[in-house]
Amino acid sequence: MDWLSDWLANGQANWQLLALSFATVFLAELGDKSQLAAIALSGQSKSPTAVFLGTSVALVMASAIGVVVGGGAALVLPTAWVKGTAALGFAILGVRLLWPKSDRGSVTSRAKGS
Amino acid sequence: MPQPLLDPPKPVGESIDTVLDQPLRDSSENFSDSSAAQSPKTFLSVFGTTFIAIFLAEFGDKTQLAVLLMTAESQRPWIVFSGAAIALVATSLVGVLLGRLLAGRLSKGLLEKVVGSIFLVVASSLLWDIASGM
Repeated sequence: MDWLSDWLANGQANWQLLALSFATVFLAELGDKSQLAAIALSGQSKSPTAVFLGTSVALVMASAIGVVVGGGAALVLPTAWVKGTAALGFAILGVRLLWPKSDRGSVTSRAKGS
Repeated sequence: MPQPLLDPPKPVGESIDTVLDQPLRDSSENFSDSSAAQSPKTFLSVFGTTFIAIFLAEFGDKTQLAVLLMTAESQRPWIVFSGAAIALVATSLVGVLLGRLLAGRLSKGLLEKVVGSIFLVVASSLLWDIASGM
């Protein structure tokens, strides 16, 4: 009932706060790296729906952790290492695709073939 | 009694795929393998790869911090979280649709170069975040 009590606080629906948080996050994410990654991953993939769901769930979970854990998130996982791992992964994906005469495998065929 | 009650449930990969994948299979001729039957295993591996990549990239990112700050400020965590979640799903959808658009328009060779470049841009952006102390 947390959600309901939040939603109906002061006896009226909190459309304004909902719209504010939507707009803030939407504008922050527009053209950001995770959206670029979603463009690239779905351009490559045979299953864009899986990319869409994977991206959505990952983003929602990341922000859920932000809400629940708060400032402690950086203590659970050191941010620089997490981001460094992601950077390495994306760099490998990029180099694999751009490298001349590489095996022309896509992200998905690599995952499937292993 | 109508028949559907007795139908076995479809595999997740097939039932959901029709939403986004189906219309574009017809138009994207340069994706010769996209019409191949998709197993739930493929779906799950793509889902998992995407999830891990995006989750790691976004962890500790400014969006996570923005949601955290708005939550603390408003004292209405569930509403802030709902707004943020809808926004994140929306930007993901826009991203995936743009990716499909690219895949349908570009030749396979050019698509690989564009996608590869985008991956490198994402990697640099992440390194920039680390360097600037995010």
